[in-house]
Amino acid sequence: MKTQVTLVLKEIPSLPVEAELINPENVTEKGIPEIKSMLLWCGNRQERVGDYFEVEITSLEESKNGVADPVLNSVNKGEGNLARLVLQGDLSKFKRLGQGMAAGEMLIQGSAGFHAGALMRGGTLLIEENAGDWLGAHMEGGQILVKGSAGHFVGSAYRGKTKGMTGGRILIGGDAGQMLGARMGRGLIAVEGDCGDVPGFGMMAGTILIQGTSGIRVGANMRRGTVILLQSKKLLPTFYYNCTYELPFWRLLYNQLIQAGFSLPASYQDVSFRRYSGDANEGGKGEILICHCP
Amino acid sequence: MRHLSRYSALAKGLFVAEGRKGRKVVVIDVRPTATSKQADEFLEITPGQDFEIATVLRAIIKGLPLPELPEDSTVGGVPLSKWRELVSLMKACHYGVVMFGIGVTESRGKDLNLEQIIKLVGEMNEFTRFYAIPMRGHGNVNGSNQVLTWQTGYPFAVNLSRGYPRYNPGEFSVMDLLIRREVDAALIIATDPGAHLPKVAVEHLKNIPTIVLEPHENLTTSWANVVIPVAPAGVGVSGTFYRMDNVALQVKKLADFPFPSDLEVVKSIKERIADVKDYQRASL
Repeated sequence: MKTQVTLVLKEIPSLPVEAELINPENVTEKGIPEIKSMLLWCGNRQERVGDYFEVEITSLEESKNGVADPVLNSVNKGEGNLARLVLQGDLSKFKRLGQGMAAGEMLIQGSAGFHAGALMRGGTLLIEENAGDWLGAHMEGGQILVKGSAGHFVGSAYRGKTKGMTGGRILIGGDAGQMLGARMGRGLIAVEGDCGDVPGFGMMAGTILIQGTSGIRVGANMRRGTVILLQSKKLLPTFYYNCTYELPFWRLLYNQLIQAGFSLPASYQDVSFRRYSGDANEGGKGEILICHCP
Repeated sequence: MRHLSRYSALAKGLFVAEGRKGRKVVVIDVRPTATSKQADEFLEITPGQDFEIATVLRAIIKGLPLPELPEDSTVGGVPLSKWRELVSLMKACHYGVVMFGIGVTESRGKDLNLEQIIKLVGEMNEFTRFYAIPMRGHGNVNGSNQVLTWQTGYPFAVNLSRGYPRYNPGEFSVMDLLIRREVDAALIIATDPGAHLPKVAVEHLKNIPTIVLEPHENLTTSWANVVIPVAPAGVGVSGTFYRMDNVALQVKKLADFPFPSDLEVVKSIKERIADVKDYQRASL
């Protein structure tokens, strides 16, 4: 029987709490006391979920007959029995929510703190307000949807690591901070709003789409991969103009994003792109596609 | 100026017996300084362009074409031809050193500017011997980096709250922790946050219990909750300093001070904490 576990925040803690155990797998088939006794870290103290949250468990039998939420209807196999995890309240002080989750649905009705969905391997994480820094860092699969804005280092690599996100999808409805997708290898990041400086810094593969304006030094030190800018931007001198063309891949990406609930104006459906290759300092196999816009 | 005479421009060495005459000094800065007057060449750049300059230098070093930049254009306020001259100078030398200061890390791009400079120096080693040395601002900043690195593996911004070291500048660095109000007490040793940190960070420090170990009166001691006077290191206490090029220097005690050293204070605080914990355990 599919259940829904709801954690309601009692009050916003004054200090950050690290909650890497809160994910759908860990709450499945557990009773309320068990969930309340799950461990969290606050500074050097171990505390429990019950100290911060009220826990409710409800059955989701009725949703089987009706149409399930299309956004949260995940396609992964073997997760039919996982509980749907819902967190309510402003969780911007809670770090590492949904870290390393491999399957299931997790819904945060509020903001999430740092490292949300970091090291995630599968499943769906939906954040209804803003997300903190390092959203989806080192993510391997699954998808993250943020309705508000995200912080810096989305999908990037932790310090000292050479490869960040290696798969999956991050869609951001608002703006993103600096170093979007820095050092990413594979995967897709799409931002509806603006983003800060150096998106795609040192990226190795994967795709970044920025609908709004981006900061300076786009794609600096990128080795491979694709950065798509829908607004024009002056690039570093180590990017070389190649050609202007219509690419079939854009149609596929466009449709995929629209299906996933990403809002892109229909006028972008048939556009040509100016292709720049770079960063020449790193071999020049990356590409920046700038919309030749309507 | 001591740096110039003892270590860099004027020093006489085994391979540069003639001292200053045997060296070329190029200063890149946003304004003329005392150092730039001593230089063979001074390139005055526009602020905030460090990353672009390092990128273009890397491209010139590799001989890459720069189609977007005509030959008469400027990069960072300096003509491209000047940068080309600088690169040929760098390639011609036997032993080059890039000394960079705190200004590079403060301008737009921050740590990425450094990453670009370090890559540039790495690539220069294809042609000749090249080094990069960071110029630290205060005395023995390097010392704390050294000790933290050999103890934890990371030079700064180390969080030990979970019993093992974690490193993440931006999350665990002093300024970010204070600005996000994520600390509820502070023990300050051998620094003056009141003078160096931005106002928001200092405001938060004022709101939480702050303990300062400090030999002098400074901008922090006036509002700190507890000030423990200590003997100044290198004058009242012997110890080891680290010079900015990572050379360890033993310093002797010069005079007697009525105060304990930082080490003694921290040790006794630790003992007292252990006592309190034992007491708590016993009373459980």
